Amino acid sequence: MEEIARPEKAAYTGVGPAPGTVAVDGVWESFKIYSERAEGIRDRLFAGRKNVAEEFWALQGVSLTLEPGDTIALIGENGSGKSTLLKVIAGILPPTRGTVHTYGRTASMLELGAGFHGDLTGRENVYLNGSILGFSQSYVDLVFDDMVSFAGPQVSEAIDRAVRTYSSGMYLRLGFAVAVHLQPDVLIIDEVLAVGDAMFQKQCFDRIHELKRNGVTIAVVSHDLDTLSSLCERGLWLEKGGVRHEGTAIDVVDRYRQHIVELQGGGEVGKWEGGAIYGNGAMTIDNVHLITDESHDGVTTGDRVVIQFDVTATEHVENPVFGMIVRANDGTYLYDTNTLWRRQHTGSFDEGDVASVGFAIDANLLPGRYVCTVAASRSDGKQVYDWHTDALGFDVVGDFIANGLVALAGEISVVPSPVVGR
Amino acid sequence: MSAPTLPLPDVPPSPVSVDSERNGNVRELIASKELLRNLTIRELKVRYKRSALGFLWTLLNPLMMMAVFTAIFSTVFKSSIDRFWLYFLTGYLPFAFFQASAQVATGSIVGNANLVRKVYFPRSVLPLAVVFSQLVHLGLGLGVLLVALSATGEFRWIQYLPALLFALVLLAMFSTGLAMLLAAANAFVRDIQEFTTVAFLLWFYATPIIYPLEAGSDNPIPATVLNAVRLNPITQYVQLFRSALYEFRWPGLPTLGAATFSSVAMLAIGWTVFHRLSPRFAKEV
Repeated sequence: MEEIARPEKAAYTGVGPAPGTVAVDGVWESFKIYSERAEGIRDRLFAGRKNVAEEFWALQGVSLTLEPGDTIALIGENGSGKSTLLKVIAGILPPTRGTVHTYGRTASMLELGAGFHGDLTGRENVYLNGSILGFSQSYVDLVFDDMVSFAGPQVSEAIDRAVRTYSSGMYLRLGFAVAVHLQPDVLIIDEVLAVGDAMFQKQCFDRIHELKRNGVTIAVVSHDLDTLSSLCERGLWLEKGGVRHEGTAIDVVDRYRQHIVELQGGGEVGKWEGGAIYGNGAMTIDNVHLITDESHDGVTTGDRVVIQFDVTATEHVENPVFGMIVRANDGTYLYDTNTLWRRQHTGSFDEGDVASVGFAIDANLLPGRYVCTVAASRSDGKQVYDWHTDALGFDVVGDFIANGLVALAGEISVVPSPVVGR
Repeated sequence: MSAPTLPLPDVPPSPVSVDSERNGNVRELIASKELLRNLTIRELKVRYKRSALGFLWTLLNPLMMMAVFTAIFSTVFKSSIDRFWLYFLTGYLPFAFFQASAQVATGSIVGNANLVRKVYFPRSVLPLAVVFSQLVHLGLGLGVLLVALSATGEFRWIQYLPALLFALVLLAMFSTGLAMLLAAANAFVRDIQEFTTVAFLLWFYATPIIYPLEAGSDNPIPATVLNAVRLNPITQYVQLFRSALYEFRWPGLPTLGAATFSSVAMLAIGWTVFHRLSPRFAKEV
């Protein structure tokens, strides 16, 4: 496997901030809201007393500094200003007050296929879209083949047909392919990650992770909190245009989840063994424990272990989702699974019903401390019944000598090659 | 699956970190020349994409207009104008360019709302792409006109080519200025779009395209009206085109001076207003 080509980020020896730096300083952004949207002369001229525009401050003194290679998740409810902040960083909305400086090339992925014209062919649109996003013809030439094969065989067959003949899926795939193959210094992503089928989504994530490894500064808005905590290092929680909390993505996501549960009402929020616990209480989790291999004490690299917990329903629930997340002690996201993703039916629970849930895993982990989060939620995964952050910690021991987190195991072979001419 | 490799950017990272230039100045526009070219090509391609005759319409349209007006003015109204077809085309072609540029550009910001709201790029490329694409149509139209002139054995136009080119530049400057002004204003007040249809009909008749500019017994237009028509800046450009392609003489200095002044002033006004308003486009469209 070849090393991924890195743009010469390290070679930057210039004056001033390095490409990929973003400095948002005390930004306020106002919108005028007309009671009746006034777009004509009559409304503009005679608005006078009746149609006074209301001023709405979408951002209220937000400051944020991103270093090259930073990945930040912007989290908040609808109308909290996160999309506005992205647009401010992208330069689409100049700040009403305060300053924004971005260094290097910025590309915004706010809408896939923005600027595609139905009557132009896929190929023509790719070049047009590239130049709209600020990339030259010769750059697009370089990545064109990769881009088209990324978008899939359907699209590559139709690349010289007008895009109005494309299915909506093909359209989005091509739009996404264009957006992720142009390598900016700063990439801005707004709610466009959930496109296409599971396969394509995975492809998209791999690609974004690759951009991240290449040192691209990334700012993301998404409602998918798990995605955010796996993709981003940093988190920023916006509320009513101001910063409510800033920290690591995992920390911010946890706090935000907790807040959402409080808003939804019910459920006790308390501290219990290291992590936050929250949920509306329709189901409760207790007795989280680890069942280890019987042959020896503790957990050794490669053991099959079971993370087990009891759930009790306090009201009738249908097909709840049980989930489990394994993180390294430093918070690195390692493994996240649940019965919804695994398409496992969990059955019907009446008030008072109890069940024991077990997640068996092969602990192919290098020696160190690992923590598990467990949760129960509604059948669509959208409402948390009970969530125990870092409910369980366990230590992996062993003599497996390697660096990193996971034991990918396997043997090392050294086979002498026959030497020609002896 | 092997890891796909990311190609290196074609431009090496600049040794000096450049703060993004989002100020809409000329330098930013020059840096976006490729975008401007691609948008111009889009305008050209899309216009005739689904018509059978395609680009031929660029030539057919003025020829058909000429046929209609020549027929009317040689039978119904009996114009005294010598070589009416040539008189008409030398007025109609520049006017049609001006009208199409300004009118299509008026909707260019609002019509590309999805782009303006979602991506940053210098907004001025939108109206400019319209003007440039219309300039291509005008170029083709003038090319056919020159061929037709040559076919009638008329070659005097060759020596006045510099005057023609100068007239083109001035007209393009004026049209760009108005296009930018209207495009920006229309983002805030949509009535502009409706208003232009009537305004340009009036402007057509206020330009000496189908009647002579000189008052006389054979001119049905009263002298006072003609004096007003002379104040119309498009009249000056039409006069420049006619002196090169119809009268075959060098344009007079007063006409040249007035036309240059109008062009520079219109471009300056349009550019300034556009860039004053463009930061607010994303919120308004």
